[in-house]
Amino acid sequence: MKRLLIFVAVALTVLTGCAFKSEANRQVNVYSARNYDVDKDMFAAFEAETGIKVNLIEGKGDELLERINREKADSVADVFLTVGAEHIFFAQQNDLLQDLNTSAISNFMIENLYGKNWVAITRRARVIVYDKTRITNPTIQRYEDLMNAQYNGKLLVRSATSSYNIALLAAMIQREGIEKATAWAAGIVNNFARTPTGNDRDQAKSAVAGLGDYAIMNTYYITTMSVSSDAEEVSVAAKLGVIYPKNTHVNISWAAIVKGSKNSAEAQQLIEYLLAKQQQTIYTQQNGEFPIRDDVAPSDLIQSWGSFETEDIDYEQLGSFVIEAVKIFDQVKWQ
Amino acid sequence: MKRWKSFFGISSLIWILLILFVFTEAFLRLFAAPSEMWDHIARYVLSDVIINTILLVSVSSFLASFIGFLAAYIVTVYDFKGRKIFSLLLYLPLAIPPYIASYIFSHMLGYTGIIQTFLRNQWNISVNPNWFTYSAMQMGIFVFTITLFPYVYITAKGYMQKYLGNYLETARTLQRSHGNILLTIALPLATPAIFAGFTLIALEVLSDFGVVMYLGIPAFSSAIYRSWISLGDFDSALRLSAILMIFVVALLLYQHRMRKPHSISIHTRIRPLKRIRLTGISEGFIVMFFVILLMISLLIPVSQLLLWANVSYANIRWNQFGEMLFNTLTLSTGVSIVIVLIALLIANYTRLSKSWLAVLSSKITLLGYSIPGSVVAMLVIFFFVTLKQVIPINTHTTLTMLIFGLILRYLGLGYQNIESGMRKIGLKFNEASRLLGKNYGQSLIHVDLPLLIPSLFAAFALVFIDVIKELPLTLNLRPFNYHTLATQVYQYASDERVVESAIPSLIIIAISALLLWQVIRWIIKEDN
Repeated sequence: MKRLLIFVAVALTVLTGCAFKSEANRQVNVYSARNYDVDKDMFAAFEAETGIKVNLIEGKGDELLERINREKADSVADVFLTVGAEHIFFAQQNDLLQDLNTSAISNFMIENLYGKNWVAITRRARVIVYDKTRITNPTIQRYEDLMNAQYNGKLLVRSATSSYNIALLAAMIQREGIEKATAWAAGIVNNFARTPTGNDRDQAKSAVAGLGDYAIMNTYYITTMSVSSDAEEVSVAAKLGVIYPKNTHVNISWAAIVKGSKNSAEAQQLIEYLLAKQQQTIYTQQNGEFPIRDDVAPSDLIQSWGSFETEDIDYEQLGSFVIEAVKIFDQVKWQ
Repeated sequence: MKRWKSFFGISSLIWILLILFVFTEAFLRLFAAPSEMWDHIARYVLSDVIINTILLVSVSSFLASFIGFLAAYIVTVYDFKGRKIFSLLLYLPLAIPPYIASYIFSHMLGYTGIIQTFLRNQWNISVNPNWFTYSAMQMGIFVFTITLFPYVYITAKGYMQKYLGNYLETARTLQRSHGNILLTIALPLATPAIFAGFTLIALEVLSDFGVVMYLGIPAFSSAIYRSWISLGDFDSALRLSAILMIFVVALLLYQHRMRKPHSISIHTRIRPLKRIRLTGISEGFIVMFFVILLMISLLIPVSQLLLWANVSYANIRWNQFGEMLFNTLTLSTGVSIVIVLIALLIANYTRLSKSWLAVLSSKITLLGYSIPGSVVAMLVIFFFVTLKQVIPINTHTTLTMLIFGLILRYLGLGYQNIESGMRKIGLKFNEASRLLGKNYGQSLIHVDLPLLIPSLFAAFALVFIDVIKELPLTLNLRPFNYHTLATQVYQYASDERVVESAIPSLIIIAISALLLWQVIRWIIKEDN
């Protein structure tokens, strides 16, 4: 019994004591929904270059945002990094973001990709893919074409709970209005090859397997599949043809300084670091995302899919259409 | 004398109040005016969610309980080749997190999975991919059944080993058939034990998030998450959680009423079981049953992970692995020990005091186990934000918040085990000890505790293997720069890099399996 008690005491001391080791003089606290090895490498490089310690909590974007909202009175986070422009609206509505020094970034950023208190750090396109060894001449040019009767039982797409699909539909509502967006969603459901299941990669694999002909997925996963540890995934990626529909939906990964940040100078410095040429090159080469500046070329794989026309949407307002999007998904029974 | 009794009472009530306080926010939501989204949820989402949840929870709990009970019955009553090793191995599927199992089986059956790949690459056969399709619900039920059946196996086996002996001898003397003994004696006798395991399975399925989200099953937990995340309506999410909690408490109270007090342990001498030796076809049949069961629930998933580990070890980062392993082990061990101690206090209180308050508090411990972890996480964060206004606690550099959250979530699991252990012992020894002049505290430590040790270890092991694979709380409540193996699995899996998540997954499974193996062997020795 005594030994057990000693063990408990030691365990507790270890648990509470060693979570935090050294406290550097300059530091920046990051809440990040970008759970990638590439990001960790970049933070390490930033630390080495500037001497500013990066403290990191990773999680899901929505949960981190809810946490920031709850901690509002006594904020700990300095930088918020996430995926999906639809969260900007919530963050701004709840007054969670602090103004950036945009003069430092305005000279190289692509327009539309930053606001007074947020800035995109990468972009991803949601496209239509198919097996190019099987389908040689795809005629699809718009997302709307997927509604045609000829694709009945041919479409593969993941469930409506996916934030990627929600953002896609929200953007469509913003651009075309509720009626058209509803008709589109209903048309897609009508042409489902199966009840949505699995993630984006699963849709691509099912298209190559022949369970359906066309799949909706993010370009970013094609890149990561092409360097997968699984040789079969690599060969699936090699077979994928990419269709950029007219008004291709492009979502962003973005960064902001959290309101009440106690290290806002360091926060600004970190964000600028992520936007620099060198880091932008790493994002596109290693993680398959599109850079946010014109003077950095996308990776060769991305370039091989050709050029495309991006939809014109207001990222700050995108989030205000999310509720409508979810309602539409429920109404048309897109599970 | 009374001082000790009130010590147990007060310390238990403090915990119960803390739990209730954390959940107040959710309960208050039931009385507030519903948000505008609620109409939409009630109209389009709720009925689907309720139907799917009931289907998923009832079918998988039922199937898992059936398999668990059957396996427990066979290894208890019959003797056959490999019985000993089978009876030990059957605990281990519990070490495999259901969400990992769902990735594994979905991938294996998929186009890039081992089955289709093998046919394609070795024999150049392209099979019709439709042969390998399944509904999300079927896959969900399958995954929960094969990963959770050991809960009932554990409870039913422990119970039957103790109490079946007496009845079995009599039944055999009366020349009852095998089927007759199984259905009319073993099954009714083991019902309370089966139900205890069944409850744990049902709660685990109810609160699961990873499996239903990956497969796309519209269940309660995904609906809660969806109203919160997609609709940005945390209020509705809490309202849904509160409904779920009421449902769970009702279920638990019903279970409590179902359970008649058992006094067999005290009055009858336990007679050791004489196993029936199986031979020939029946032995072959039984051995085959276990081989297939263990292949599906253990060998196949682990082999798949090993194959993935083999191709991915060069592509994953190893620089923080030592730290992650250390964090994983210390966190799981520490939290499990604390939970066992608190659960022991509460179980002792509810055992000594028969009041309705005690019964209710015992059920409240299970609240945290019944709703999705991400909601618990947000409630805990809110609790600490409030608490910080009174007491300065550093939530971002210490593990305080995470440890508190994990205790809140898994206290019920530990409690269930310790409470059932206490019921097995009964109150007689404790009463005798107090008649001989010992107080409540001394009686607990010197009389009950030694008898309880197997239950304490079982509780420790079960909590440990849940904490080690836990995700939403660990992800949301951890301090800066704190990574565990589970968060590493999440990092790869959330990026759809399932193959790369194999190594941290395997380590989690290996640690859990090793612990289960040791604890079970030790308990068996102790029991004998």
